[in-house]
Amino acid sequence: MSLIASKLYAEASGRIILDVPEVTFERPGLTAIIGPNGSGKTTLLRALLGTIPQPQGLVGIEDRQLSDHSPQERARLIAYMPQKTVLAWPLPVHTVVALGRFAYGAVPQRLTPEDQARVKRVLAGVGLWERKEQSASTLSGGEFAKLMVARALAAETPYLLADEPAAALDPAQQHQVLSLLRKKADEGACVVVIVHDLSLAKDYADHVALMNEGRILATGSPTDVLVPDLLAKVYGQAPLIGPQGITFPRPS
Amino acid sequence: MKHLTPILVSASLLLLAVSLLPGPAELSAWQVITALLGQGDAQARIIVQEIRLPRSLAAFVTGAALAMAGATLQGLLRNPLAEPGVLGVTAAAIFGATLALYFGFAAPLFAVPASAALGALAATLLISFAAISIKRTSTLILFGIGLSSFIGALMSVLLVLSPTPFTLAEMVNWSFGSVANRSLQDILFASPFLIAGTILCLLSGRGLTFLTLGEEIASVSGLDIRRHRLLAVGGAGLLTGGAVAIAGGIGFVGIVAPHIVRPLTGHDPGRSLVPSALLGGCLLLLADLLLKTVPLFGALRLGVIASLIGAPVFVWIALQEGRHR
Repeated sequence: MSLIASKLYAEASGRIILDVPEVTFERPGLTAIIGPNGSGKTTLLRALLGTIPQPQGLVGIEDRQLSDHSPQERARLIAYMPQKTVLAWPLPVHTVVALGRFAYGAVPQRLTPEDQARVKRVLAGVGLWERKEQSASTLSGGEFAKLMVARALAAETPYLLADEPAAALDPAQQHQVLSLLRKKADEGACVVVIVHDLSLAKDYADHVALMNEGRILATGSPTDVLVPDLLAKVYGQAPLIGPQGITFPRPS
Repeated sequence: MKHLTPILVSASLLLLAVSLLPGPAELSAWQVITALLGQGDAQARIIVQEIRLPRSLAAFVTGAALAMAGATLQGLLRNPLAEPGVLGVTAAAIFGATLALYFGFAAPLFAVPASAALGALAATLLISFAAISIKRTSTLILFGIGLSSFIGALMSVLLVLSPTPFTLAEMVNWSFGSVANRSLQDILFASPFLIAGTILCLLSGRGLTFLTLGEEIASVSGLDIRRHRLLAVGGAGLLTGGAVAIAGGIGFVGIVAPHIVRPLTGHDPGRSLVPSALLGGCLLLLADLLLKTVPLFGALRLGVIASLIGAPVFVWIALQEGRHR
């Protein structure tokens, strides 16, 4: 079981921003996509989702083309967490999570008992059940990030694409968010997550895909991909890889 | 807030009843009730059934339609300042209605509501497409102001070219906004547009709630964005067109009513549609009651009162927004 895409391609003002002949994401498993800013990570996720149209490209899930599914069916297969979500209105926490049940026909204020149970479970899972009545706009950055994870988890999809879910969080919160996604993968899902912190990729991923200039440069296990010469080629300088993590030296 | 809708329904009925009491002809409450039931003397019956009741119903229906249109546009554009008047939709509807009057189409009774609705739909469609590329709240409002001014200029052209003084007077009348001297027939002929608009808006409700998360998440999560936009835009356009066909240009109800309702419905745009409509109806009934009872306001029109109260509230909401972002 896997998510297989081929011939993904995108251009922006004459420049190639995505050119991926073929890529496979295994289920279950957690794949970390790494690469410098502007290397095409977000574009890849959007191409997979179809929000950037792919006239030549093919995206298949479990032997069926994604485009053959209705929008609702697709939404029950793949959940997506964009890089930055801005709520237009300060909805209460539980309503935001209830929106994760949209593809199942849920109406936030009139949830079925099953939907209610699912909302409760994911909210408890991210540690926000006690604050379910609170307005989402009053949450801290870390809590909001976990709320977004809860929203995506509530959809109970076998595939989850997350675009920098741990961005701008303190280290402890980063680990909490990645742990939630790791748990989802351990429960049998395919999780694809963009991270900038290479240590997080090393700690949590089964597979790592390294991107540069719109292309996937290398894929494999963290030990295969997170090696000094590959990373140096992409990031412009060689990292220090130790048991404590992966860091870059101060530029001289 | 629980029981919000029942409370607002009761308030609406109460206000409707109270609004029938004042008037130049001094009728007692008992006379009004008997006249309403078709009893009592003929003069009182004509006053209540053909003057006061249509006026009150027109005020309520217009307020309700504009408030629901406003709540829908706010949800669709994810923007608390979106409102048919501010965005130029009302102006387009007035222009549509005026155009029908200009060409003397007013004789077939559906012509004015239909062309008002057509104008409103065109403007709403234009705005919703502009909203795709315009991400900033303030820019969209500016777009609406530009649209309003442009249509205002077209209106002036039309007024200058008006064939007879009678047409001119009627066209000017339309742009002010009033519910005085309306007949039940005026409401009846606007009702197909109002009913269709209400249905479309209510159908868009669940999608509006979902759009809180943004269009990208909404579309990936199974919302058919295009279909949904057509529902919301069509609904808001039809409602505004219907409202303008009854009462002409009345601004700011569409922004004030949803703004008051929103915190009471957990800020859920889908759930605020019906309460907003009810409150919008109540607000215009109240404003019309002011016109009828406060001597100073007697000479004013409903549209003027609505703007006198609504415009400062609009500015206040805009300032609040500015502080949040």
